[in-house]
Amino acid sequence: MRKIFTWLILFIGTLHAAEVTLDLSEETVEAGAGAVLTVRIKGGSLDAQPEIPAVKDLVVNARGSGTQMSITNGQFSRTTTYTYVVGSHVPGEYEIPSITLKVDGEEVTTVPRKLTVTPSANAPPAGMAGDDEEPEVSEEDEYGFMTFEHLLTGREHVYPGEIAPVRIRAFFPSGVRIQQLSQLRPEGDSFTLHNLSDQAQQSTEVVKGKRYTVLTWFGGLSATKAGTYPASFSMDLQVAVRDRSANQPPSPFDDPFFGGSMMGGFFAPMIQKEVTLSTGDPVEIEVRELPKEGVPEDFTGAIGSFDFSAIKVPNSLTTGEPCRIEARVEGKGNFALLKAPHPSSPTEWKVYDGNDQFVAGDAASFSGAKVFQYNAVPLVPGEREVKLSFSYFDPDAGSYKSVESSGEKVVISGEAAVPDEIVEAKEPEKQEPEGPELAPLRSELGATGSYLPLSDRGWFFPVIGSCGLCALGLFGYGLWSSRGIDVAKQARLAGDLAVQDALKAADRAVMAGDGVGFFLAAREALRIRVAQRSGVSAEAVTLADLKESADEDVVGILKEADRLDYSGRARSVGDLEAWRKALDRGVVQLNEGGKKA
Amino acid sequence: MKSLFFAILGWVCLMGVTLGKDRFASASEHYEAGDFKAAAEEYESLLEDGPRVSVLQNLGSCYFRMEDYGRAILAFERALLLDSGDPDLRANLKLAQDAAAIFPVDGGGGWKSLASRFSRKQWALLALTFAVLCPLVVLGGVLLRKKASTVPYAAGAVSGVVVLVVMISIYALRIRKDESGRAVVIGNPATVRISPFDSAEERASLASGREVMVGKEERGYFWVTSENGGTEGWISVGEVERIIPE
Repeated sequence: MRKIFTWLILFIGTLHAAEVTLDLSEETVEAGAGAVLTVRIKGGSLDAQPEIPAVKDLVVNARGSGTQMSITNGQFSRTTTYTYVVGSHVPGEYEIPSITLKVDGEEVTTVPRKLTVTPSANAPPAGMAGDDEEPEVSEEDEYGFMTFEHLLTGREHVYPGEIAPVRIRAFFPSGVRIQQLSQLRPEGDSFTLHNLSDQAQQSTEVVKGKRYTVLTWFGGLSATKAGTYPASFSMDLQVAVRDRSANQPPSPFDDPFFGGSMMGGFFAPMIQKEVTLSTGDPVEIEVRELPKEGVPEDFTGAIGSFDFSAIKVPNSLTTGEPCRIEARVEGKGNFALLKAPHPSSPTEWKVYDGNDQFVAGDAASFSGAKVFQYNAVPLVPGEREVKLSFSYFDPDAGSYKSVESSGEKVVISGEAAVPDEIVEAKEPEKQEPEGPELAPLRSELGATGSYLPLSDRGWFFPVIGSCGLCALGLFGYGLWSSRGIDVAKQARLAGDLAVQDALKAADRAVMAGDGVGFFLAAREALRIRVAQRSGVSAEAVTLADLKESADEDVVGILKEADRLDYSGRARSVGDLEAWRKALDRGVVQLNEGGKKA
Repeated sequence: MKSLFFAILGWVCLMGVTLGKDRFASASEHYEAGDFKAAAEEYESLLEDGPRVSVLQNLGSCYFRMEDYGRAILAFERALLLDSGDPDLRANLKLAQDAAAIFPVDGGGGWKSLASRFSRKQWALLALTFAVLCPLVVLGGVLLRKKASTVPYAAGAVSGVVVLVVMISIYALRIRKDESGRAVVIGNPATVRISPFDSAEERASLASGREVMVGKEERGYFWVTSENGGTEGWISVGEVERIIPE
C-alpha cells in the first residue's frame, strides 16, 4: 500500500514540467579564484551528469551533486543540483554557453552566463608563475636557505627608479619551526624593495630528496643610483630544530627487531637559534642612467610599458566651465610615478590636480591599471577632437615614448575664456587670492624675536630664586626692625607691669593694716595709669590732672595719700577694704578713659 | 676714534634694517602678484636674520595659498610663539588647520587647560615679572609701615598673591617643559615606519599639518608620537619639522 502511495506521488510529480536553471554565485572573480556554477533541475531527472562545454582558458571542476525531495501542501517536488567551480588564471570576459539537457526524455536548454575574471592582486607577476629550477642546496644550509630571482626580459641592466619584479623564496627543512624576526630587506643601500607581499605563499617542495617548507614573497626591486651593484636580500629568523646529536634515552623502537630507529629522533630535544638567512652569492646588476637626450616635457619618471585602455571626456562643453576627465592607463612598471595624462593641446585647457586610483594586477604591484580623474576647463570654443597624452621611459627599448589616446569629439560652446593673443602678451597682473579670508599681510617688518621662552635660559631660575630670597630677607628685616623700635608699646607694657606691682603692694598693705603703705602704693598705681593716658611722667601727675576724673574715690585716695605723705603721721584711715575697692574702680576707670582717648 | 666706530656700527645696522625692509616689501609684492613661491622664498631668506612675527605670518599665508598646509601651519605656530595673543595669527592657523582637515586634540582639563592658556614664553615672562615684583612689594611694606597700621597687612596680602602667581607660572612651565619636541608634519603625507629604515614596514601615514611630538633621531629618522600616543613610529627627518627650530 505504501509503495503504491509513493509511486502515485512520484507520478503526480512527473506531471509538472521540468525546470532547469543555471546559477553563478558571482559574476566577477579575480584570476585564480573561482565562482560556483549550479545546475538545478526541478521536477525531473537527468539521464547523465550535465557536461559544461569547454571554453578556452576557463577551468571547470565538478564538485558533486545532490537531490532534495519535499512534499508541501500535498505537492511532491524533487530538485537535483549539480555544482561546479569555474574560474580562470587569465583575466577576461568569459561566456558559459547554454547547455542542452535531456530531462525525463525531454530536451531543455539553459541560458548562457557571463563570468568576468579580473587581474588578481595576489598573482605572481607575469613571467614568474612557472615552475622553478631546483635550487642548489649546500650541506651548510642546516636551518634553510633563500633564493631570489628578478624578471628582466632580454637585458641585464635596470634604470634608477625602475621597478623590477622579484620573487624571494625561503626554504626551511620540514619540521623546523620558524619565527620571523625582521622583514625581508635588501642588503646595502643601492636597491630598495617595494610592494612586498603582505603574506608569504606557503608550499612544500622536495629538493635533492629532502622535503622543504617554502615561503614565497613577491616584490619590486628598485635601484637608487647608477652603477653596478650586487643585489641580495636577508632576513632575521628564530628557528627551532630537534637536536639529534643529543644523548637520548634508549627507546624500544631502537631495537634492531623493529628495523632501527622508527621514531626518527622524535624524542630529541628542541633547540632554538637566531639566524640570518641571505640569498647567497649576490647577483651583480648594472644600473644605467636614464638618457638625458630626448626627455619629453611631460615625462614624470614613469618607467615601464603603459598604454591607454579608456578615456572619458564629456562631448558637450562650455568655455570657462569645468568638466570631469577620466583616463585609465594599463601596463607594467612604476605606476607610482605615472601622473595624470593631460590634453594634448595644453594651451586650450586649464587643468586642475585630481585624484587617481591604482588597481594592482599582481602581488608585486608591477602590473595593473591606474584610473585618473581630474577637472579641466576648456578655454577655446569650437568643435575639437580631444586627445590625452603622457610620456614614459621604455626600459626594454631604452628610449622615451609618448602615448596619445584616441580622440574624443567634443563641442565647446561659449566665448574664448582667455584669447590666445592675450595669453601671449599678458603681463603678470595683480591677483586677488582666492579661497578663505586670511588676515591681510603685515606691512611692517617689526623686530626680531626669539622662539625660546626666558625659562630656557640658564639665568632664569637663579633670578627667580634670588628674588624670593630677597623678599624673604626684606620681610625678616621688617619684622625685626618693627619689634626693636616700638617704644610706646614697650612703655605701655612697662606701665602695666608697674601698676600691677603697685596694686599688689596695696593688697599687702591692706592685709597688714598698713594705711600709709596702702595709700602710697595706691597713689603710685593711679599716677602711672594717668601718666600712661596723658603722656607725662608719673612723678609729675598732680591732683589737678585728675580733676577731669569724676570718680571721687580716686581723688580721695590721692588726697589721703598726699596728706599722709606731707604730714608724716599715721592716723585712722577708715576701712582699708573699702579704699581697696575704690582703688580698683579708679584704675579701671582711668584705663577705660585712656583707651577712649 | 670711538665715535667713528659707533658711527660705522650704526650705519651698518641702519643699512641692514633698510635692506631687510626692501626684501620684505619685495616679497609682499610677489605675494600680491600671485607669485606665492617667489614670495615664500624671500620670506624664508628673511628668517635667516631672526624670527619675526610679520615675516612668519606672511610666509604662512604664502604656503596657505600654495596649498602647502603643513608649512603654513608650521609658520603660524612659530609666529604664535612670538606673539601668542595675536587674533590674526590664531584665525590664520585655524583656517590652515581646517583646510588640512587637522583637528587639534584637546590637551586635557584642569591644570593642563590653565597652562595651555598662555605660551611658555608668556608664562616665563609672568613668573619673572612677579618674582621681581615680590621683593619690591615687601620693601614697600617695610618702608611705609609707619605711615599706617594697615600697610604691613596690605603688603603681606599683595606679596602673597605675587608669590602665588610666580608658583603657578613655574608649575605651568614645568608641565609644558616637553613642548620643545612639538613638531609639524610637512610631508604630504608622511610615512610612519616601524623602524628607522627606508625598507621598514609602514605602520601609518600622517597628513601634512598634523602636530606630533618628536623624540630621538636615528639614521635620518625621528621617533614621533601623535594623538597622545595613538600613533608611534619613525618618520623621515625631511617630513617633519620642529616648531622651535634647533
